[in-house]
Amino acid sequence: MVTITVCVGSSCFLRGASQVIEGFRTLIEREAPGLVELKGSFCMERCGNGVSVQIGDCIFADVRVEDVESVFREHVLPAVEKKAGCAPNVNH
Amino acid sequence: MGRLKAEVAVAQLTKHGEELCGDCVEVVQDASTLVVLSDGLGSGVKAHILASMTCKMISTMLRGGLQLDDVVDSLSKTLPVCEVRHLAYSTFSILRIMPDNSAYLAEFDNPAVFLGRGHELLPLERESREYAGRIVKESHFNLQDGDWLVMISDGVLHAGIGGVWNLGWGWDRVGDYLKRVSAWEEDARSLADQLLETTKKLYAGKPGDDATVVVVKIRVPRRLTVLAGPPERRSDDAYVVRRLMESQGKKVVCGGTTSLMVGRELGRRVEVELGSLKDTTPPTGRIEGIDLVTEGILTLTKALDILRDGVPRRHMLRYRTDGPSRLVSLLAEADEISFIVGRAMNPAHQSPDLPSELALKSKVVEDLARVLQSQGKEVTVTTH
Repeated sequence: MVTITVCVGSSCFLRGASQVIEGFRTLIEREAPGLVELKGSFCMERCGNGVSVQIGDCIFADVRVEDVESVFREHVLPAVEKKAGCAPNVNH
Repeated sequence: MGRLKAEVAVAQLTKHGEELCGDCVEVVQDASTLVVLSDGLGSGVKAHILASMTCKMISTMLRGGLQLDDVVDSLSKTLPVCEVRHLAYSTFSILRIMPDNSAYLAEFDNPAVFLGRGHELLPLERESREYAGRIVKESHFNLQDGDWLVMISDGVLHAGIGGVWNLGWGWDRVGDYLKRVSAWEEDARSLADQLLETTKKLYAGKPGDDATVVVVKIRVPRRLTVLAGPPERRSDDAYVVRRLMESQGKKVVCGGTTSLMVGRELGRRVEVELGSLKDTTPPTGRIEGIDLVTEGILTLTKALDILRDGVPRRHMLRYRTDGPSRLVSLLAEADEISFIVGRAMNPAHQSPDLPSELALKSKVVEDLARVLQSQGKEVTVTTH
């Protein structure tokens, strides 16, 4: 399971965290239902560069609503495919 | 036992066709609680003037340390005489609860005050004494957690007269009603509203007299501690978190960075409840052992707005799940609130591209404290 964590602290919230979450939620349902977990965080200690988004171990700063789709395609989907590809090997 | 909280609620009906209520209630709560109920002769303007003068004079003079006979004497010399009835008359009931939970009751011509413990009515031993020519019934007693007192004007007893009840609702039946209702109406406000609502129904919506209800509920004070903002010096983190955890009563953490600090100090996970996220309000969170975790400044500001607009009824807020409503709900039910405010600056909040909504946290907490104090709550604010 790939996890996307979006910061919803004051500063990220004012910069549109709820729309960013909504954007990810729509994309997950359409393209990778059940494979990505969406979570919130109260602070990623990067308040000056919101909205902060963490995918796996990487933190992305300054994510705006219009960036959501590209972040999803470039970073989330590959991670999902990588994990899905790993699964059969584990079973063997 | 420590000092108990006396929660007071007043509800009134005005006689059908009148603009002013001829009953008056004065409540003063400081170290002690003083409640005065007066019913002026007749109804409308005249009754209103008599009753308000009586209330005001009694509460002011008693608090100034005067004895009851002086007060009654002054009343009979001061109240204007009615042209029609050639009388200067108003009833009164005085309830005074001292910090040691002892109570004094003085009643003159009002229906007897009900004293209840749990779901039972307790008999009050009353002694009659003459004060400046008037027979006043006095009683002294001690109050416990869970006790309640109900003061009414005779308009409540007369409810339904000639209709539902030949002779009106009557003291015994009102008493039976209170025993039943007190079982499910837990706060003073609801009990007062419930009793008055039934009075109104018995009058078929057209009260034949002014009717007043005062409910006083006695209970252990509810405490609440709110931690908002990390302290200025990081070395104080452990101290403020310990103060929060060692406080009695419910605990609230307001702020993203603050919740991380609490999680770190306690070694517990901080989870965000994304379901409570709305476009206009940040979501709430969860830390084991903390009753409510919210975002900071926006939630506090919204809570202040709700409080300033006047909290609806408590149980209306109870079913809302957003952070500000849950915070207001906890603040509303608390009697003693302690805010621990950290002064650490979040540099990101000074950024010019953010709206000015990010006001200073300490300023918002100060305003919150002032509003809550005006509602009779004991509020302390400490900064670190």
